[in-house]
Amino acid sequence: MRIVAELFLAALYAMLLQNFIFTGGYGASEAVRMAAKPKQLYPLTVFIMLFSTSASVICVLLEQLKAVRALGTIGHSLVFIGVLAVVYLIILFIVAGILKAKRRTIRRLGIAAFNTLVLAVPFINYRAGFSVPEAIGSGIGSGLAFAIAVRLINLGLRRLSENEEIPEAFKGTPAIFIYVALLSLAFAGISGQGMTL
Amino acid sequence: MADKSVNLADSVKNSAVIKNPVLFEAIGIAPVVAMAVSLKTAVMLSVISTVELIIIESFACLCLKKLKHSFRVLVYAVLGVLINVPLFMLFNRLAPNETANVSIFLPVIAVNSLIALHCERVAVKNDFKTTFLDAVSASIGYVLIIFIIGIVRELLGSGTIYGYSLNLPVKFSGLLLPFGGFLLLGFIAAFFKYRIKKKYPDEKPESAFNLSEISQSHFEGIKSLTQQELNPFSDMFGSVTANETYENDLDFGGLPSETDDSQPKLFKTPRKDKAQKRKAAKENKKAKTEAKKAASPEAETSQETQPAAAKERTEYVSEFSEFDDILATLDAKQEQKQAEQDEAYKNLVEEIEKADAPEEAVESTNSEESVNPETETEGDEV
Repeated sequence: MRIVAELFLAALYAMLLQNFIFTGGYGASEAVRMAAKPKQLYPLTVFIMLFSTSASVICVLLEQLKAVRALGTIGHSLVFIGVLAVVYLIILFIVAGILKAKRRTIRRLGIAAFNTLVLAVPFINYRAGFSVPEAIGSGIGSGLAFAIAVRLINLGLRRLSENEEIPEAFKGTPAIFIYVALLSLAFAGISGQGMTL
Repeated sequence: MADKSVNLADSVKNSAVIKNPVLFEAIGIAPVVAMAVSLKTAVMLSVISTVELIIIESFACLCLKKLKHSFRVLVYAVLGVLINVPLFMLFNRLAPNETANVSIFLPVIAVNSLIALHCERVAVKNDFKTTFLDAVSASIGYVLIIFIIGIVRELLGSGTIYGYSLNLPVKFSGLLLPFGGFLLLGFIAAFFKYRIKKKYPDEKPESAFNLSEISQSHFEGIKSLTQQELNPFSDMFGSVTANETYENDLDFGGLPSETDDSQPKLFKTPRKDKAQKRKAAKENKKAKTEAKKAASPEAETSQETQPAAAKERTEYVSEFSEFDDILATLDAKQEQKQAEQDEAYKNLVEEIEKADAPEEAVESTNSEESVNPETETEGDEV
């Protein structure tokens, strides 16, 4: 029961209380660009969740080793990118070799694996000293946070594109950035602070 | 030399100003929003981003053109981290406090979307000169925005500049949060857009960010993922459409070699198999040419073309026989109608002629009278 509670709370923390995209800015460019192409949202979210969860769990397990625990930020960054690369290759082999996915799906894998959001999750777990259930929760939560962020930005984009009262200079990305800033402010208000790492 | 300077100027104008990667393409936002909170961090971020972009893009142009996209992305990330490590150590020695504050963000920059996007868009498709120019100009555009945001946030958020206090009466510490970064990005983008429209009225900076697909359904992608894209038996049941076009998720690539959506060859076929295939193909060719030589061209044409033509003709006739019948009946009806109309016309003409016959006789007598010389003279006088 405690494990489930830990997992759930970590997911909730990553998803809503401190939405990594709005309060940390991680994966913001992917979220903004994906909001303009919502058709690709859920497949990409599934892959982001897969990568962030598996990478964060493996990294937390590696933290149990003394040699890894003794490493500094540089050493940890090398370990994390190494783990992410291995996870990427394994999932690539499964998706492309066994499931015989198409090029479009394989391209999504690359975008989903190597972005600031997925690489930040193991760092956040490491700084927060998360356990394995919490690491699973933060991995799933970061994927869901991405989906929520993209959905919210997409809804805003639809309204903004219909609004003809916006000054010409603010149409397009300027209006999107200001809208995302307001969402970010709202999430910062929910969490009560900025991203504390 | 003059050409080079012109190209560099054009490249800087296009990549750094009109299509600024951060402002108009929304690429590489995360480091700018999260890390550019002071001039010092802006300097660190600028140096790392510039070095990474130039080295990785050049490396991709020179060495990674023949590698598959899925492996290239991995190489960009690993190279990014490897370049980060010495720079991180350098900054740790020069400014330990600032480096400690942004320590989590520095490794994260290695997977900056700006690098992957420019490598896939430019480096893999073009020559070294074009790639280098693109890397330099994109770096200039990126660094420009980082510096503006870093200075403004430090000035308004902390009341300092490069660590020196300015004793400002008001501080907006909220600007140091990502919220402040997004807000400043919005206003700077609007200012840049206004200036670009004034200076270059023909340019459209907003075209860099395509908003034509924002109203698409979210669920179409997941349907296609489960039903078609990840179905190992898809070919067996024919559920994969052959005419599917490639849709890039985040404009990553669009490479000519990978535009088809078919199952990619992740692992190459062995050389032995290739040699066997080549041999078999050669033998087939030889056999075909010999067979052609043996058979005369006339016989070939008569044997091959005639039955095919007869088949086509019979199919054609059977398909269009119904239409022919309908057309024939319509023609017959029209001919009947025409004949009836002709008869009615003839009758009418005869009746009119009969009715006009006595009137003509009267008119002829009147005309003889009118030719009288007396009446002629009267007419002349008038």
